[in-house]
Amino acid sequence: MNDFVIETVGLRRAFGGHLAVNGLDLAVPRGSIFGFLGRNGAGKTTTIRLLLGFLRSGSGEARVFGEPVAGPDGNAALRRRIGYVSENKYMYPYMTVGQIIRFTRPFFPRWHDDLERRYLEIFNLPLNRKVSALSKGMRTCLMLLLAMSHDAELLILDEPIEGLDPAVIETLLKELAALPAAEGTTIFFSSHQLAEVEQIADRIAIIDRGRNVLAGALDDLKVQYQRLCVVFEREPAPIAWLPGADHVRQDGRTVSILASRNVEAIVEQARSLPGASVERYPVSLKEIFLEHLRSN
Amino acid sequence: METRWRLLGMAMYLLIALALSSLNPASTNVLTTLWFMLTFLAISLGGSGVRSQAPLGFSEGLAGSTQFTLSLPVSRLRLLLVRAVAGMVETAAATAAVACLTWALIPNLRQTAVPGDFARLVITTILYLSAPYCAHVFFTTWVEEPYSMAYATFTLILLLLVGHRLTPATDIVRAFSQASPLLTHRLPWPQLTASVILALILAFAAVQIVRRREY
Repeated sequence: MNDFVIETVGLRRAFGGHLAVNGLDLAVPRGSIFGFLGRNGAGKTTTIRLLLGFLRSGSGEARVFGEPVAGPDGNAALRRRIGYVSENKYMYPYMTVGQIIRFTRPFFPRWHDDLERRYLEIFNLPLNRKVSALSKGMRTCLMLLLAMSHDAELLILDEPIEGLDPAVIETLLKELAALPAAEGTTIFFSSHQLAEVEQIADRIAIIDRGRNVLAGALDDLKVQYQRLCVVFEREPAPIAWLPGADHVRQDGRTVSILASRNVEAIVEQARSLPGASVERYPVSLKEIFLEHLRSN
Repeated sequence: METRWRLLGMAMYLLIALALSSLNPASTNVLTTLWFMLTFLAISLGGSGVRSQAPLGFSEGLAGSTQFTLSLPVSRLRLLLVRAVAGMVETAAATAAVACLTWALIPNLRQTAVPGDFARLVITTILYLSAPYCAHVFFTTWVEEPYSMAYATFTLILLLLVGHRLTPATDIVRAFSQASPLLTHRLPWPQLTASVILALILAFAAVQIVRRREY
């Protein structure tokens, strides 16, 4: 059995002259919670639409559950194994919450009524209210219920916590975090809320301009990356830092370095410089994200 | 559920037309009026690609729900066919209901036609309406409403005119004039065949577009 639920190799897709996905390589391990990060317009939603077959790729390869992603009309059986929350969170506005659940349920033979009841309660969704009368946050909750109630092997969630209040976010993150261990579900989600991603993701990929700029296990990345703050007595001349000092910014007498490797050697190099004092800080996902986007 | 308001709207117009006609016992234009209105009903109910239909005009939520629909584990062919068949059944039911009311409310009709011929006219109308219906199904696969309705109407008019020019067998409008069951006492099979073939061609083309289209 393939260890990767989602794999892309050199995936490309252009719209007119704009290359939305530009040679993207991704590998999402089975059972992982995978955060797919990028700024607005980086290509996250386009990638998701390519994986679901809504769009055709220009070149490259994409596989889901080891199967090549078929074209626009491909593979309904594959979609039975996937729970999807779209970016726009729109469903049929003329249906009530109860009606859309009853409409969706028969498509998925592994629908769990107990999960449905649980998520109705957790998300506090009123069964008799029309979808058109729901707030964006409640529509998000409803889409999450529809995606998570049918024992999906893969959840593809495009901005799943957008519009949710903090209490619901907290509950949702707990539910999502428990799914891989309890059900073996793989979760692939895109988000701008880095603090929440950091809370539950075990792997991330950052894309920019349709290309992967960083990927890996989140814990490893946070150990690997360190922020070094070097303060000099006088403003220093430009310094040739050792490899691994990937992102260097100087502001007067202070040099800030985001080091991705070789940290001890860089610290020793900084300490060896005249009049320099060095402080080390752990790095958050947000810092890693921002530094990579700046340098890209 | 998507088309219930359209159906209701058209039903009201049809009822008003029937009521006005019933006030004029000598009315001879009621069937022509109903023909036009039923054609428009078929077009307005036929906007059933894989995208949802708004009750009237644009609706952002419905346009956005396409991704939800496409994420369901069902082929686009099935989506299109189920919606198209449901809409065609709706059209046929509406036509039959209008026919019953027309027979009941227009005494002039009961005096000049026998029930069997009127029933044949109803069947003729239902089979004819498959063409305007499928015309809109075809256009809705690549153009938004209400432009798809305009294109469908224009294309239907063009095809009817072309059919009129070619041969009597392809002159679909003939089925409601010289070849009408009210006059010939039989179904106008050549014209009905032309209508159904036209509908099938449009439906086939719609399927091909929907299966390949990106959303």
